[in-house]
Amino acid sequence: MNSLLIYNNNISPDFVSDFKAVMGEAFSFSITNQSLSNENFTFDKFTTEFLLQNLNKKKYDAIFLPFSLAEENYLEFSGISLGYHIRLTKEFCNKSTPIIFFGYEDLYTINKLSSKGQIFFTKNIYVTNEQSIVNFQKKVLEINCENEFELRKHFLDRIDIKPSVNHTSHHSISNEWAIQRWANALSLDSVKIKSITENVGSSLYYKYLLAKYPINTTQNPINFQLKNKGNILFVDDELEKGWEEIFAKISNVLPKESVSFIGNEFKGEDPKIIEELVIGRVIQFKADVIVLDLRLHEIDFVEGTSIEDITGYKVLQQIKKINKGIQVIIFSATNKIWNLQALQAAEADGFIIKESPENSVDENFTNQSIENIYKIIDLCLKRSFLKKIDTYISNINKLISRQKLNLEEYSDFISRTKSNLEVAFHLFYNLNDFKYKNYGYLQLFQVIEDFIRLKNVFEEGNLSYVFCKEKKVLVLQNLDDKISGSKKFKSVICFNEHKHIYEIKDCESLRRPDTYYKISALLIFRYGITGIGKTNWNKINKNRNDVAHGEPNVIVSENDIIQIFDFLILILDKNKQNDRNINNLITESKKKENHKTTLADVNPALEELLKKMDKE
Amino acid sequence: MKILLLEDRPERQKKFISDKIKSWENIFISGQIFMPEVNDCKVIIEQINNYSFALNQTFKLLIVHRSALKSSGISHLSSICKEKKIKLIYFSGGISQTIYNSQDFEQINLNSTDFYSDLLIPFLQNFITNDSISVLEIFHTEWKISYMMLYRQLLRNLELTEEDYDLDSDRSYILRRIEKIENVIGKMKLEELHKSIQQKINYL
Amino acid sequence: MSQNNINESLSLSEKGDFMKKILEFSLSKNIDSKTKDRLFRLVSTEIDKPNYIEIDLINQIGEIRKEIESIKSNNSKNEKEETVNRLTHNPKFITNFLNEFRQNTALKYSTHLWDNTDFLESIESFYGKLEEEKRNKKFGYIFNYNRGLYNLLNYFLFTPKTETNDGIPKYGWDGLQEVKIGWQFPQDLIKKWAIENYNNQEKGNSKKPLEFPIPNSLKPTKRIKGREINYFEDVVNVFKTEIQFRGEENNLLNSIEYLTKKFNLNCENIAALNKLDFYTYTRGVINALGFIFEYFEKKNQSKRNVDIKVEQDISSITLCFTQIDSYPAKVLDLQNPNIFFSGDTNSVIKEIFSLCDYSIISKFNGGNFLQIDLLTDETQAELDGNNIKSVLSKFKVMEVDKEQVIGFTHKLKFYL
Repeated sequence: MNSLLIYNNNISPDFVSDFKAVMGEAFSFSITNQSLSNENFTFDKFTTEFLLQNLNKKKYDAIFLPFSLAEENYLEFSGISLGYHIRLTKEFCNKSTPIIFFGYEDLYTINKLSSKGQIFFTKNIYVTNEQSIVNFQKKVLEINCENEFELRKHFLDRIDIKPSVNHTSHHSISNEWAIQRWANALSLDSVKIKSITENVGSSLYYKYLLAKYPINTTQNPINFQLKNKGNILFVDDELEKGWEEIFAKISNVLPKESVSFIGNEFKGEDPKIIEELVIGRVIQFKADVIVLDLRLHEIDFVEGTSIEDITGYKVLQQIKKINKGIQVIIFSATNKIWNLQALQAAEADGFIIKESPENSVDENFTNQSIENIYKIIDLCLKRSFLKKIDTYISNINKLISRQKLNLEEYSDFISRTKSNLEVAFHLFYNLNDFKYKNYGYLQLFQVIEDFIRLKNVFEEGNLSYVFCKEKKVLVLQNLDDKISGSKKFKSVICFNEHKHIYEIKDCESLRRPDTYYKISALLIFRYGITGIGKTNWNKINKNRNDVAHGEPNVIVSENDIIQIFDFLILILDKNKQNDRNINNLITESKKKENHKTTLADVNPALEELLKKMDKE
Repeated sequence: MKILLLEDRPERQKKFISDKIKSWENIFISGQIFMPEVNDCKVIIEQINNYSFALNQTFKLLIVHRSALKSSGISHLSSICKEKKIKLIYFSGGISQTIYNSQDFEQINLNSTDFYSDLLIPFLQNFITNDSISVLEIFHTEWKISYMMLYRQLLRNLELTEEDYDLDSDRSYILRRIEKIENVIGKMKLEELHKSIQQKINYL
Repeated sequence: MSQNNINESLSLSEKGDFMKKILEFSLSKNIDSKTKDRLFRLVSTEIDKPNYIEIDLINQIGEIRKEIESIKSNNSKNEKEETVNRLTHNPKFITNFLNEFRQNTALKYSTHLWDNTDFLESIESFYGKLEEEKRNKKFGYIFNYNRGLYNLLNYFLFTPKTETNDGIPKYGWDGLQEVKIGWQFPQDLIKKWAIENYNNQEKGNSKKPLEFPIPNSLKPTKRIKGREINYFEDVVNVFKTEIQFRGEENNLLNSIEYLTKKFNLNCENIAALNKLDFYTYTRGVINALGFIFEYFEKKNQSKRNVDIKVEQDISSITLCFTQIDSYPAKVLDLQNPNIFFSGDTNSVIKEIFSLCDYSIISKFNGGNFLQIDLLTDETQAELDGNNIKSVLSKFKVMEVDKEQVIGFTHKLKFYL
């Protein structure tokens, strides 16, 4: 006979010898105190190892198990637990072997005392109350040794294993689940082997999930690749569990220097230190895209913690403070919509949700999840251009805030500009839709137009002036014929048809000064630039016109955007003023303008009062 | 004080006592249970993990959240409990199988749902009055059934074991296990055992 | 002569002489001051150089040390060879040694669950500490006190001289032949496993040596003391009962119970032995008690009652086993007591040699109430191979109060 008996020290040794002599093999099951004292001890892991190390070498016709394998507390019913592990351990060759439980108890009793009794109502499970060799022999002959049976129909549908109460264990299981599914889809074998030795892989609930939602190895292997380039930083405190390998595979088309991982160094650190470590790496590595795990520290798992207190959330906020254009993809198992909304409000740029067991009911879910990962990373790589934009915006804001020009009008200009730039940023965010890009461009152009309306930049009237440093340069005189009503202007700059730019030359014009004229005049007389072609102003103006007039097929490029930003930096910087081109021209002395506005000018009464006080 | 209870996740306990606040607070009136606040609790746990924890009171029962301990803490508590004959209850959300052991000292590992059950408050009350009760009483209302079932398993296996007249005979060891049980629930024959167990089951 | 040459070619004394000669020469009147200076400088730099003097001295010290060591080991070898056929009664030494199993020593961790103690960092550091303690605690001396205990400890902790056949030892523990494994025997078995499963793993995932699964080829075919031997922890638990009467397991009481049943004796106050706990070589003690009870049965069939007394203080525990109302018929010659004590008590002595002091208390012919000390500090035993051939006891005799004597008493005094 080829049966197996699993027993403990309560079972008679003579009985065991007789069994070995007549019926097959016997193996003793006991848990050492040393194993029990390990902080990571779990019954599930111990049992899994026991089965795979000792009993996986051959297939038996039947396995005899007592209801209880505990030496002292019968009601633990550890024999029954072992039965579940036999059925659900994927790698165990005796998964379907008929199991014959023995003991005085009847099923009614067991079900009254414990919730583990469902197994007795599944196929290939038998019970006998008489512990004797003769009876055992009889039993083996009686049972129908149907070795393989449809596990799902005859077992999985009858039993129900409950998930762990512990939030941390639950997270571990979901985490491991996601890792295994994705590793399989990406054909990463080394990750699969890890799980068997880990605590999670041996947990009964996890095995149950695996059996219920088997990973379909025949599905088409994933063949995506990232299309865009950039620096990606992966932040996860459980990299070594398999995430590093998964993400390395996903980003494998990028050069090694463009991919960075951080997370193994978080162990034992405070949340504050973790935040610092991540930000440090973001800056040093010049990350364009960050895939950021939400929960990076134990404390993030405490039930009832609000999203704002979670380490990943705080890191997200800090990254966005550095540069709004850095793309942050939140990586999490959360399915709570209010958390996702909060993250979105904090400017997260994308989400990768870890697959959880419930999702895997749908066979295609895994492949779709992975496809989504590639897509979102690609999109964010493309969008990381916004980094540059944010830097420009930040620089411009600093520049214009630093400068002190005419008080009242200028501070309004500053706030309008900031607002325009912010809007431009949000418009550029929608990279994929060209019309938003174009609108963003217009928004930037708006700043130019706003700028030339400032009083001490370009004064428009019958006499139009350009201001440079403290000088006023007359560039245009209105020679309108009041009688005939025709418009006529005398200008100091003239449009050269060949070169397509304005040049210093007296001429008459019938056209009102438009933005193109004004900026050209500014470039020549305020910034001392003669070859204004270098400033790309023509291109900028053309782009603007094309977009504004709704020309078909016009899409501003990233280069165009950079051009206009560079241009803004040029014209908004008062230090770039250069008077080299204004020497020969009519200048009205700005004695009046030289006069700095004093309190006496603004509020003479107050000035008098102050003078009195000084005297006193 | 007789009982030391170390729970470093107060939210979980709050949930449990939400509908039994009065009876929960009652058990503390006797002054026999010491349950430090979260911060103090964490300090004690760190001391346990560092081997610097010393029991200066005459506790008879320690109840500790197992996941808070490292292997060093577990072994430190084991030596304390062994030396001073203190009983030990470990609970944790990650424990999927109850394990009881009384080799060096009485200890039981429980899932936290099984710990925070209807049995907890009565158990603590009982222990305060009579600290010789077994920690098994926290595991199941009918903990005696556990002994009885073990008893009959041993009786059957004693039958199957031949006498061999040696000092360390297998039979003598089974007999000793049986004696231990009889010290708790009294001597019974197999028939009697079957009846008692059946009776108890029917009234569960 | 160059500096280097001086160092290489001369010994210390030769150099000293040479320096002396130079100085003498330089002090003679014929030398001009310049040359004098040069010579003085030469000598002073040579003397200043720490190397050449120290190195030589150190070498010499080294040689001397080596000599001492070799003399020592020769002596001990000789000692062993000399005393290999002679044992000395020294229960205090044995008790002290066994008590090391509960101090913070590698010995302790050979029988306890492992934690984070520093010398348990790796299996090699544990073995190193064990070897160190073997030397420091003078394990080797036990060879001259009690062979049985020596063999047991040697097997469990170190490397016994036993052949192996395909890795399976020919012989096992004394009295427990089925147990054929120890910490370092068969060689490298546990070590290799521990390197892989203990050293090379993260603390949280590492497996301690007590979790070593006993390979099927080495598993005893039957249970040992009621337990299956599945893991090394099971072996350790058996060992613990071999060197200690343990309160939890009550192995002393259980053994006496067994003996009383076996020899059909009646012991009213056997409960006096309940939960007694002390270190000793339990197998030797139980064997001795077996002989004692056997003689109770043989000597006086009509007297079936045995009395047990336990006296305990800080430093010792004394067990008295008395066959009530039974007194020897043979005559005791106080001048030659050894004739009286032969065969019977010798068997007892052979088993408990160096484990406890042993005395007989009884009423002897002639109306003397005497206590005769059979095993005391000065007792020696002659060996034949590993077995005791004869006991050279001084047989101290003293009178005792007749009220105390209720029968023939065997008194065993254990040191704590």
